[in-house]
Amino acid sequence: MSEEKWRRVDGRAWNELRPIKIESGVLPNADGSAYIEMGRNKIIVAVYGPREMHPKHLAKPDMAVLRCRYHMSPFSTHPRRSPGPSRRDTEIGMVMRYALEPAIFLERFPRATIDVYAEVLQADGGTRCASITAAAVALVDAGIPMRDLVAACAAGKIEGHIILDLNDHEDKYGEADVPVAYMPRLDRVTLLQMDGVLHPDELRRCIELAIEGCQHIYELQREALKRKYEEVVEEVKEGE
Amino acid sequence: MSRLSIIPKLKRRKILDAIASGKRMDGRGLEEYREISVRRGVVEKAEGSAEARIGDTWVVAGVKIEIGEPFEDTPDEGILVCSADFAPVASPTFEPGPPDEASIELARVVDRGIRSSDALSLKDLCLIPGRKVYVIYIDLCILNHAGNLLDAASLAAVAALMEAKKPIYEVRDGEVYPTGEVEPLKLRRLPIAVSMAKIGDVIVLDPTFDEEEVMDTRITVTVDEEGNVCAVQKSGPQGLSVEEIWKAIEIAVNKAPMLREKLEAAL
Amino acid sequence: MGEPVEAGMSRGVKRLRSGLVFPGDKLAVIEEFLDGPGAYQEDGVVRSAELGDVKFDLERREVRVSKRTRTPILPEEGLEVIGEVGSVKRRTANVEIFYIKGVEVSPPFTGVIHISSVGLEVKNMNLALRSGDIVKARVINTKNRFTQLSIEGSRYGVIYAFCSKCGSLLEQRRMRLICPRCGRVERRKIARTYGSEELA
Repeated sequence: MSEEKWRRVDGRAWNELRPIKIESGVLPNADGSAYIEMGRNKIIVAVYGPREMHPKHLAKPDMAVLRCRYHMSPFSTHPRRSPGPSRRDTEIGMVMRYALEPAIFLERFPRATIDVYAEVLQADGGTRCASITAAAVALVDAGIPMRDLVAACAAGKIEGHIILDLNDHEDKYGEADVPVAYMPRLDRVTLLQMDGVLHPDELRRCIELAIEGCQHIYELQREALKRKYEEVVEEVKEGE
Repeated sequence: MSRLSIIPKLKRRKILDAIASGKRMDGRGLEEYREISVRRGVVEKAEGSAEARIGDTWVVAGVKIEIGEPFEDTPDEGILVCSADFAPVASPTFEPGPPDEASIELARVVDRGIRSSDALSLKDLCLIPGRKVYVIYIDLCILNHAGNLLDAASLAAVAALMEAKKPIYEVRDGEVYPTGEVEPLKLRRLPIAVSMAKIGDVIVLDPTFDEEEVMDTRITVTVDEEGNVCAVQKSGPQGLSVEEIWKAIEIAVNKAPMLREKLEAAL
Repeated sequence: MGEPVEAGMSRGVKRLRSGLVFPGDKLAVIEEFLDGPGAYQEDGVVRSAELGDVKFDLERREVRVSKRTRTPILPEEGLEVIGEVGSVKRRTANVEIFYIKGVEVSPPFTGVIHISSVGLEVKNMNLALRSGDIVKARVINTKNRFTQLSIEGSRYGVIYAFCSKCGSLLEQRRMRLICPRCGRVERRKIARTYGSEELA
């Protein structure tokens, strides 16, 4: 079967992303926020901070600490999941932190914390990537200085085909899953995981394909922020 | 006077001054709700779901339906479990952790409204008495806390139940087998929670976050379509006079039809 | 990436690139422009650190980005803050800062007032501040472990204080504070807005 004819379980081409919708500034209480739909994934991310770190002994004297909490609502999966945090939630919180940290000027806010909370309302494969994508938008929305945005998506392999942006079914029944987060302007990978078995050449193709996906997602992140901020009246302060 | 109470006290004075002039801080009348919206089917993977917004308060409810064992004292009844999570996304004051007093109270008051109004016939949710019954989970996820979580949570929960579909099982030889078919949960009533805060000697409907911070006490009255009261919760440190309670009930009975319309009109 | 320099803008501030820029967007190379506020430099390339509007200052040879997003609220040098006095030691008092520039922050930031920044000749901090007082202060240093505050000057000092015997809000009579309930007289370093500062 040729790559052109072969179609995935949801009808997508091998290199096609799911439909993505991103909205910034959705939570009135948060300092920054974003909502993302990536296929059937639905995730809300709030950013609080930079603010004072509690407990204080966790603060760093020369930089802010980024804390990421990933949580799935009990109704986000089938069957229902228990509301408490799982080991998986904790690991994803950690990889989110590693994916986002390189993009943030943490050294500008010594002793403070920046809290990123991802709440998964519906999960359908690729929630960690969608959470990172939304978190980057929420961080910009919170006015936190950044080196770059971070966009994320996975590539993988199913039935011998290399594919972009795995859904839940492809994640479960595929041969491999490679989530990647990427700073598009600085051309740097900030998250890389792999689950499954791939030949090194295939892994390379997966990473390259995921980066292409990230570049497309990056455009959507910019558009989401633009929708909120292009109307903001510019305060032109000339001179000093 | 406690030393720590000066800020709420100053806030309270401002809020009371506004009330004395007949308008609240946000310009509302005393017995006026903020804008209400209800949307159903926001989480397709849940058996039923809805979001409710009252002003900036935003709650999502998801219904999941599973098979479980009945409680020993009610062997022929299904099980209803309602829980709430004050997600840290919702407020700078919420921290990750196990449910606290406030979230447990919220879930229990929502649960009570649904249970005592007999909205769901638990007897119809029994498959094999003593062994297999439907378990209906209602999970409430608070996304933004701007006051009066209870009314929003209750609207979201009932809206989610309205559209929830339960899988049909075939009972054969003392076992249950999924047929792949679904049918709506039959909701017999639409209980509506109406919350008010007592601040000084006035009662205000649908309190905001700031009003809740300075209120003397809160009263929630849940009403069914016949105007019967099916749950009451008085929550807060100060007392209420019988006249105030009567007034609160009257307000709730008068306001409930407007909220019920929002529920029924929800898409 | 740059567009032609616009003519006619005053004081040497010109825009080479119009519209929004995003964090990471390339603005210039370091040989052309230095990275001013809102920009940063990496490997010789000047990029935006903010979502905002870019301005090229030809006199200073500097590129700046003024953000369109909110600005994070932190105790920064020179800012006015309001907080509650926590523990008071002989020479220092802790303050839980909950308003910065009139904006509520949660949780509060911790600040410290040293006896040398009180603006009064007192031997013990207890004669200027008591635990539970609400103070208006100015941030004087953020480089150390704790944000250092000063209440020097008539603008700063206690704005609400409570009787250390019965807890009532103290009333000001000239330079003294008197408890309306038990008559106790107390001393504080008070601000000129004592009792009238709007907080809510």
